[in-house]
Formats: sequence, structure tokens, C-alpha cells
Amino acid sequence: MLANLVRGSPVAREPIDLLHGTLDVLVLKTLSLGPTHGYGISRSIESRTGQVLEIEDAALYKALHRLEAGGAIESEWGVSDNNRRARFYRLTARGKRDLRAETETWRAYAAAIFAVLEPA
Amino acid sequence: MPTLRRLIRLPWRNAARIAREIDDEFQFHLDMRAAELHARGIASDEARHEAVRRFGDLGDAREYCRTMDERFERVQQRRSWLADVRYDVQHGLRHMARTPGVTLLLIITLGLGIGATTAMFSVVYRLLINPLPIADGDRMYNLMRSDQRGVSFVPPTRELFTAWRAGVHSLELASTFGKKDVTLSGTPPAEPEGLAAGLIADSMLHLLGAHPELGRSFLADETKPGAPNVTMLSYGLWQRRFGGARDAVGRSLAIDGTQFTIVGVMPRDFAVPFMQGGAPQLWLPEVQSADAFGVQAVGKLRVGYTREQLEREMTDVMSVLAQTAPEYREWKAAAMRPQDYLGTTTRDLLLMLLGAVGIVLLIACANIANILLARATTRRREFTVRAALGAGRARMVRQLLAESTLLAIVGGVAGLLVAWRGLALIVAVRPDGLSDLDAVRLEPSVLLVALGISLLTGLLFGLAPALLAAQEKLGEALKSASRSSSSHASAARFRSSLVVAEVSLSVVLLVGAGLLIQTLVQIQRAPLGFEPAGLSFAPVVLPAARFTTTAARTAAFDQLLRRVRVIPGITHAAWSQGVPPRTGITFGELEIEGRTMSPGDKVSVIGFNSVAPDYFKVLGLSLKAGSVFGSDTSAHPVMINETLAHRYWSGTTAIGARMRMSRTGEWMTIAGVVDDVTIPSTGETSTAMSLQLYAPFDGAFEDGTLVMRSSSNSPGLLALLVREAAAIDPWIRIRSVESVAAAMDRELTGPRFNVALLTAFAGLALLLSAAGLYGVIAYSVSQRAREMGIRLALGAPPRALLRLVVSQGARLTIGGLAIGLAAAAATTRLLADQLYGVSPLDPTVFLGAVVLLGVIALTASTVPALRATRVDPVVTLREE
Repeated sequence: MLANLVRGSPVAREPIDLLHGTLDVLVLKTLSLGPTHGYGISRSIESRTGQVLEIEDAALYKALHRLEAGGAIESEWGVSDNNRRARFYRLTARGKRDLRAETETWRAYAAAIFAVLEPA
Repeated sequence: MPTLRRLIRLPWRNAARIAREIDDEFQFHLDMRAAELHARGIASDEARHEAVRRFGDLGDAREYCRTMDERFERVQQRRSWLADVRYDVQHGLRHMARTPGVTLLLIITLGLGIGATTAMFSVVYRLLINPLPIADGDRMYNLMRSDQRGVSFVPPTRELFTAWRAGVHSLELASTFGKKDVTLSGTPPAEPEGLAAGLIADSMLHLLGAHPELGRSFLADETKPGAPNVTMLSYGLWQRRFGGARDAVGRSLAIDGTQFTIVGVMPRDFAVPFMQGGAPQLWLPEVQSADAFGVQAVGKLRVGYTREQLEREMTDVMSVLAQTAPEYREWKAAAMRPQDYLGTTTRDLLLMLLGAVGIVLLIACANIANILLARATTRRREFTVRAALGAGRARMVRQLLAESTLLAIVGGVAGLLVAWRGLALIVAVRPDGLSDLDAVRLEPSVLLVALGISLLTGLLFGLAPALLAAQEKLGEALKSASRSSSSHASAARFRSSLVVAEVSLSVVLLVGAGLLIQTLVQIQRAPLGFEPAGLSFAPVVLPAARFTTTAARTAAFDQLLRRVRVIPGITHAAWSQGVPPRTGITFGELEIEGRTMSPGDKVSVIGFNSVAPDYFKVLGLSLKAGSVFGSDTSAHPVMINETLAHRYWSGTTAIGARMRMSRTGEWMTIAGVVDDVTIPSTGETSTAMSLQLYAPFDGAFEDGTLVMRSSSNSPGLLALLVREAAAIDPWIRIRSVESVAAAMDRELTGPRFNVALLTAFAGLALLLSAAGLYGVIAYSVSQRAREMGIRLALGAPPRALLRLVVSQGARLTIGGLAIGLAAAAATTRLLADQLYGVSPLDPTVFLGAVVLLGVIALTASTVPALRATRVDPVVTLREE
């Protein structure tokens, strides 16, 4: 199951796709700030969401490998800040495009939900 | 941050490696998480456990990631491989474009070799291997009977056919057919026309698995005498006369003056196997008349049975019949395939032509090998350097493979073009005896085989550089001194021997072609025994329904003769059954009264013609002894030719002697001896036709040939004849008048076909060999350019260089000629059956071949030699 990232206009999704899609876009966004390893992505999301969102590590790594197989990101082995061998990920050109599209989708989706939730 | 650009491609990861990396990745994460927790104050062991717990389902994640990565790796591999192939193809194309001359030469050579072979094999396939491309065509047989020796074949009687159909188990189906000429009367605006009608039994369409395009086929009742007159149109006639109208069924057509109802239309391209001549335009039910001579029968062999079983069962049925009708004992059964009717001479010729074109293909492959080998040595440097830079041997081999495949594909397309046009040309010059060729098609399987051979050659000699390069040390290859390495010399020797082989093969083909050309010349020059100038003939057919007795027919013939004799310009005229070259034969066992025939005397086939007494005068054959048919008709007088008289009655007179052609026939009295008529022919028929027998022409049959000699060229003779015949009866059919000279010329279509094809192949071989020779000499000159430059600089006269190069070419040519002449002398014996008036070892032909090849080879060596002398020594020396 590759990440179901749809470019262009927002589309309705299955719950599992929604889950994948959400995780994917978070990962892509994180990587857009710079290449890093899986652990780094996990910490970055935790800190940026103010500990509100805690990504399950297993799900994160599944997402990373899935995204790489889909061509949105690519990986390379390197050396971490504390001199340990780690696998670093970064966005590809395609990943950048996907990120833009997904962001738009999310914006539209969130706006739609808020439109319902907010008092008229 | 480490740079993440991939500069050098890493080797592919296998499953173990992928698993390992994932484990490392997860381990890193767990360690970091544990460290983080520990930094927050949790004990190390606790921290580890917590990290693992927080991770989630490790096993599941590991599985998932492993699968994902493996799949991704596979996709990457495939994409990379495709990119490599595309690169190889592009590189190959660029390489081909950089040397356009050589590339073009390769493509032309391939095209000629593959194309010629494919065209010729398609011919052989159609005539010898799959002559009946219809449903179950390989199971169709012409059911015939033959004499005990298997020399002559006749169709079975209807009684015999019926017995076969009922009693032969290995026969699944059988049916009969015939052919006759009819005249279609015209409903305006259509004109009356004479055409051939096919006669078929009601079971024929079922046998052939064919269905009418329109309407139905004949019913069993319609084949009985007295049945209503029905007919089926051929597809072509339906289109032509009825415009393809769907309501043609039920309309009527006037055939030979009688109205026939159209009951159906045959499918397109419908034909009955074993039917001679062109496809009939009209089909009629075969009416089983009582006095039928014999019926043409075609049968389908039952699946799982062999031809031998069929013939055995047929013969068994005949022996049963022989119990009540003893004449059947003289015959045995024969199930014939179309190939059997070609005759061994034609079969051998076709196979020889196939061999000849195979030689052309060999020469083409040798040339390709030579070119690629020469290129291999020049590219050695390129490949060695690439190997040094890290290109794997497999990679280079793959690239060469791509180039060879590219070449083979382009060559194959060129070959297809050549084959298509070549086949059309072959069909255009095909002799009358091979009329089946009109339906020949290109055989894709053959094209594939020829392509495969060329591909193999290309691969073999194209891969040489990669293999050579792998063994070279880098330094060696880059040094110019490597020019004189030993592998170089052996490669040059190999190339030279290839050229020598090509030249010798060309000699064989040239000699063969020369012998056939001489044959054609000799045939055309041969004395005929009679004077064909001014002689013409017209086949005439009386309508059977209106002239039913011999007396009536004889009267009609006499009447017509009298009328024709007074046509201005006609000096002599007479009736006969046929006229040279269209005279017939008779077969049986020659017997002479009062004499026991020794084995050497026995003859079973002799030339035969039934002629009116004036015939000899018309042809200009003088009487050598006796009189023309004498006066006593009861004694069955016949005339014989000089050769026959000399063979059996040399020293005595043949006049008054009696002979017959079968033990049960009447004795014929020899009344006179006439001049020989010599019709030059090759192969099996030549000896038979030298013995000639003439019986008196009577009105026993409806057809006869009017033989006329006219003093001038009479245009419109046909119209005059038709008018005279119409005055006697409007249904007398005279369809053509032809001059004997023209008919004799048409007999030459066979030898002309042989000449055309073998000369074309020999020409191709010569062209390719010359190109090969040129290539080898030119290459050797370019390799020795430096040496020549030095010599010129040191003051050698250009003539000396010229001599040097030409002598190299001469050496190769002479070697090829010597081997070729020996080979030709040994193999032209195979052509003996195709020759006339020339021996297989005719010195003129051999000499001619030597001269022709010598001149061309000399030219091929001189051109590069001239180039050598124009070399500017300064330029050459500087290049090093």
C-alpha cells in the first residue's frame, strides 16, 4: 500500500487512507525543513505540535518506507549529530509537489470542518 | 550535514542486506529514544523497555518495511536496466551514424542476403512443402492409377472410383472433377465469351470444407443425366457479370446455347486441387455419363493414416475388381501430391536454386563478419579504456549485443523489402509449368530463420572486441605498437581466407549461370527439322451436342478445311491433333510383330500425333520412304520418323512392318517414314520425344488443330477463321490463332526462368564478393598507411605501391579462382538434367567465369590501391 497522496483538488477518503494521508503530510512537511532521520522526524513533530500529537514509531517508519517506495522521499545512510550511523531522509522534487498538493487539500478540509463547527 | 547526492551508483541490495539495514535503523531509533528517556531521569533498563514499548509492533513494522523496500529495490533495478538498454541503443545508433558508409554497406549486405533467401525459400515452400494452403491441404491426394512400373499415370474409371470410395477405409472423403471449355452467350451489353468451366461432383465442396458465398452448391440429383441445367458462378464472374448482385441466384445464363439456372456463387479464390490450368470462371455439375474416359479424383486421407496405407488399400480394391475385369491387373493405385507432378527435373532445379541462394547468404554473412572484425580491431582501444574505467565486461557485452540486434533489425527490415520485391520479380518470370506460384506468399518463418543466421553472425563477430579487450592490458592497447600484435595478424589471415572462400563460391555460381545461359542459346539455335516461319495453328472445338457422330465431325472438319484453304494468304492447311511444340505422347509397351524385344529395345513413351495426310506438306517434312498413310485404311496405317525407323529397322526397310503400343491393341502397319522433328528440351522428356509416331487424323474427337502456312503476316486471321467456322455452325469454337514460332518461344519460359534466377544469384554473389575483396584490401591499406607514407617519403615510386596492393588482391583472387574452378568442375554435374547442347565442363563457360571474375576482382583491388598512392606522407606520419 503506497501512500495515497493525491495531487490537485481535495478528494474524499477512506478512514485508513485519511490516517496514512495525515501522517504522510506531516512527515513531508517535517522533511521540507531539512533532511533528517526517523527519530528526528518523530521529535520534530512532537515539539511542533506541542506534544499534542504523538506519532506511533512503528507507524512512522512504515510511512517513511512507504513514502520512499512511492518516490516522494529518498534515503541515504549518514552520520548523526552524535556520530552514530543513521538513515537520513529527504524530500524529492516529487515529494515537494505532493506536499504542496496535500497541504492545500488539508487546508480546504479543515476549512470545511470549521465552517460546520463555527457558530453561523 | 552529509551530502546526500548519489554520485556513484551502489550495488543492488539483496533481501538480507535490506533486513539488516532496517534492523539498524530501528535500533538507532530505540537507542535514541532510550537515551532521551534516560536523560529525563528514567533508569537505563527501564528506558530501554519503555522505548521498545513506545515503538509499537516492532515485528509488524519490520515485515512491512522489508516488503516495501524489496519491492522498491526491484522497481529500481528494472528502471535502471531499461535506462541502460536505452543508452545502449542510443549509443549504438550514434556509432552507426558516425560511420554511415560502413553501416549502409552492412544493411545492404544483410538486406540482399536475407531478402534473396527468403524469396527463394518462399517459392520452394509453396511448390514443394505446402502446395495446398487450404483446410486439410496436407491430406489431399489425387487418386490415380499407374502402370506397374509407375511411369505413366491415368485417372481412374468411374467404376474404379466408386469402388475406392466405398471400399478404402483410409479415405475419409473423395470427390471427382473435370474441366471443359464452354461459350457464354452475352446478354447485352456483355459480349459472348469462351471460358473454362469446372465440373464438380456434389460432394466436392464438402470435401474441401468450402461454403458458397451465395446460394447453394449442387445436389446429388443434379449430377445425373437428364437433370435440370444448373450452374454456379465463380466469385470473379459474379462480380464481373452481375456486379456482385445479391439476387444473382435464380437468374439464368446461356451456356453453349442452353439456358442454365444459377444456384450459387463460389467463395473468393475457390479452386479445386490438382485441376490443371487457370481457375475456372464457371462451375457445372459433373454429369456422370456412361462413356466417360476416366474421372479426375481427389480424396482426403483419414487422420492417422499414411499415404502407403492408402495406396495399399486402393490397390487391394483394384485386385478385387480384377477378378471380374482382368484389365485392372495391369494397373496399380497411386495417390499423388502436387509435388509429384512437378517432375524430378523441376524439383532438383528448385533445390539447386535454393542452394545457390544459400551460397549468397553465406557470402553475405562472411562479408558482415569481415566488416565487424575489422571494426573490432579499431574499437579495441575504445573498449580497453572503458574496461579500465570500470565498465564491467557484462556491460560491454550487453552493449555490443544491443548494437548487433539493432543492426539485425534494420537489416531484417531491408531484407523484408528485398524479399517482397524479389518474390514479385520471380513470379513475373515464372515458367508456365509453375503457375501455382501466382499464389505464393512470403513465409514469416523463413524470414525469421534467415534473420537468425545473420543475427548469429553479427553476434559472433561483433562480440570479438569485448572478448579481446578483456584480455588486453590497458597499456598495451594504448600503445601504437600494438598494431603488430599477433592476434592482429591472425585476424587478418582469417579475413583473407573468408574472402578467398567468397570468391570461390562466386565462381561456382557464375559457372552454373553460364552453363544455363549457353543452354538457352543452344535451344534457340537448334535445328527443328521443319520451318516454323509462316506456320500458325488454331485449336478448334466442335460443339459435342451438335456433332454426335464421327461422320458428322469428319464432314465438318473437311468443310472447314475447304473454306480455310481459300482464305487469301493461306498456302497450305491441314488438320492434326497438335503441332510442335504442342504434340502429344503415347505410352505403353512398344511391340514389333515377329520380333522379341530385348530390354534395350523397350520403350514405354513415344511422341505421338494424329495428322491428316497433308500435314507433312504443311510442315515441310519430307517423305523418306513409303507413302503417306498408303491407301489401305483397314491395316491401321501409321507413319514413323527417321529416328524410330533407324532404331529398329536400320539396314532394312520399315515399310510394311507392324507395331503396336500395347499387348491388347491393334497392330499398326508402317506406311511411310518422314523427317525428324526436333524439339529441344531438357531433362526427362528429351529422349521420349525423339521417337515419333503419326496416326491418321479422323473425326473421333470434337477437337482438332488447324495447321496453316501463310505467305504473309495475316492480321485478322482469327476473325476470318471464326467467320468461316460460323458459316458451318455458330457454336464451333475457335479461340485463338498462334504462330508456331511464338509457341516455340513460349516453351522457353522454363529455361529462361532458370537463367534469370541463377544469373541473378550469381550476380549478387559476385557483387558481394567484390565488395568483400574491396573491403579487405582497403582495410589493409588503411592499416599500412603509415608504412606507405614512409615508403613514399623515402622516394618509392607510386607504381611500386600500386603493384604491392594489387598483388595482394591478385593473390586472394587467384586462390579463390583455383578453389572455385575445382569446386565448379566437381558440382556442375548436378546441373546435367537442365542442360542442352552444352557439357557440364564446357571450357568456354569456365573461361568466361574466370575472365569476368578476374576483371571485377582486379577493379576491386585497384581502387584502394590508387587511394594508397595518393596518400600524403606528411599527413600519415603526423597522424601517429
